[in-house]
Amino acid sequence: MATASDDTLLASFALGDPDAAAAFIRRYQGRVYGLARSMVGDPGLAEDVAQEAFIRAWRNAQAYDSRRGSVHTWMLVITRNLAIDAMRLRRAQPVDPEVFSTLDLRASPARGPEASAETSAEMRDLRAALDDLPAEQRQALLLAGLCGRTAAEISEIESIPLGTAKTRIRTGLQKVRSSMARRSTDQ
Amino acid sequence: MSLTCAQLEDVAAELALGTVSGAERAAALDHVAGCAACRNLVDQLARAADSLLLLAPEAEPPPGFESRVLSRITPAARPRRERRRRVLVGVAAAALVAGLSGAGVAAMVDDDRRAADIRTALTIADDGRWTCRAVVYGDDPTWLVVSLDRTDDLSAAFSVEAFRSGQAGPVTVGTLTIEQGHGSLATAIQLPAGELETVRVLDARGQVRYTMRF
Repeated sequence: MATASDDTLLASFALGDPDAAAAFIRRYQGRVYGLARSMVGDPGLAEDVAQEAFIRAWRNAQAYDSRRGSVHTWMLVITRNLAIDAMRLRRAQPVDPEVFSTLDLRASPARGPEASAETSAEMRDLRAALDDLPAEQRQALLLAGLCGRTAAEISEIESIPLGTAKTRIRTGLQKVRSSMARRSTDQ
Repeated sequence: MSLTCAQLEDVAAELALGTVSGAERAAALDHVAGCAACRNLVDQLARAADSLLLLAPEAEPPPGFESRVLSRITPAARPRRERRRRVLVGVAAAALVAGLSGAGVAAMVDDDRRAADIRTALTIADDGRWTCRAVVYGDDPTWLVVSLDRTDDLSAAFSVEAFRSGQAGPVTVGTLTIEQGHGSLATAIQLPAGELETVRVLDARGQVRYTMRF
């Protein structure tokens, strides 16, 4: 079961197979908990978010669409949305945004036989796209995308006008999108 | 408030990143629902935004994490037959939730193909997710499973009662205990599944908090 493809493992997980459930959790728990911890800061709340992410995945497995991305990314999107909800509800104190100024953009690829190759290529393109961004746009984008910070919060953190924060986020994400699309086409 | 395409473009990145909320998000989603070009823009940005999540550092969850998740998904004590049925219900309920919204909406799932003898009633919150779910199946015995899934971390005990078709008074079902917002009550009841009309969940003061009609 540990070597099953991501899609197969997700399908078995959704059907309540205990072995598949354990394998699915082991495959993604480090990433899911890591993202939750990055966003909400508090370890207890991060575990709540991570647990709920797996429950949501189990309940809504039929909503997964492989054309939109990998199971790995799908799990992280669920986690991000739950973490943002949790932060809004509980006014959690996220991690110090300074953490992301030193973020290791060479983060290791996901575990799992097919996820590794798939996310490695995506990671490579993403790293290159982020490297091309001006530092202030990269910082704003990572604060929004990985910390779940709103434009208003980024404006406060960076001591910049709200409009400038919005522009940095928007321009940064548009450039990343264009860069990744171009690199994907070139390959 | 309805946005123009130019206004949507300004907020599209934040929408894709999930950091827009409240009225601004509602207005943006309203526009996107009726504008294919803007929907495509947000979709493309969302793919880039989702990729960013791959950069999150990996972290080892606290000891026992895996078993705690498993206990919520596949409790060891649950009979094999019930476990399988719960999964089927989960799939049906999720499909229903995806298509419904509105406070206080209660609805019934009746998926003849996959779960002919399972009936589910839900209470749906404003954001479209179900808050309280009642599932009933079987006749010998009849099983009733009531689950509460709140977004807060309340730990409390609720009483559950059921109403049979054609009878005015309720039948006491049992106590639903939740921890950190989540909990379930699974019990056999002395009612044929087809005659169960309503399930109510009451708080410690006896106030009805959730009503699910089949």
